[in-house]
Amino acid sequence: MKHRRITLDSDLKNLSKVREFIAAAASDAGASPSEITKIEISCDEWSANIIEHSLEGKEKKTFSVECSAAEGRFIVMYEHEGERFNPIEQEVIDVDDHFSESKERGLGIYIMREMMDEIHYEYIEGRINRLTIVKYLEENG
Amino acid sequence: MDQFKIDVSYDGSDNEIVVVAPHGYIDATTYLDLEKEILKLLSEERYKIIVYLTHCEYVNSAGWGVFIREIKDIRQHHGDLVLADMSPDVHLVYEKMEFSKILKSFSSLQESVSYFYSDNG
Repeated sequence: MKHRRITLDSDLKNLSKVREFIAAAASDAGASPSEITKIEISCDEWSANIIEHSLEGKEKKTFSVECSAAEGRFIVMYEHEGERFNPIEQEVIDVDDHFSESKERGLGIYIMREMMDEIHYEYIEGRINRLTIVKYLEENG
Repeated sequence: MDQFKIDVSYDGSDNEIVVVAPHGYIDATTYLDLEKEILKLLSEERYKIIVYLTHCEYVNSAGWGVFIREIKDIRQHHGDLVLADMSPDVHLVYEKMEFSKILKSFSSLQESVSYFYSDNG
């Protein structure tokens, strides 16, 4: 499949646009319904994280999403120029403890880490947050 | 995208069982509506809650948080919050994230109502 890219304003109303964009691209790449669900859920969590936290109060309030597929891997790359935040550095949470301690953040990132096969974070040119998440497409053989 | 809405209905001999049925996607734009509805029920001291998910296509982390956050308080009041008739996509997250350790689920609304009629509920 060709690379597909969209750039959107940082607005929660755009969550559904990202989900639709991701689901269509993953389907074209041959992902199974279960794999599409896992990718869509992960991207929804990361999109919401960017909009609600990283780009809150920033001057440049857009983010981009790019999809590609190669060698049985579906790849989603997010870029934005908001607050620097590396989700890989976040502690793995215990779900029961998480809520008993009244923590509000972290579950979405944990879901993303559980649903995807690879997550890579880069901070580029001192301004660009790039998160690349990968799903191995296996279920259709 | 369809408009998100929540239907609320009652069951049981004294209408003590509340069925909360969200329609559409529970995401960062809609989970607060769900939270508001659950907190309203708790303020009315209604502690037997079924979240009927047959019309719900998706639940994000904040939505799961709404279900899980109040569960200890609800059980301390001899009630429960249970899930019924999850779609495959919602069930996938429920199983994968092991939310089943915290929240009971039933494959149909009738089974979840029966749970509250039994000694367990």
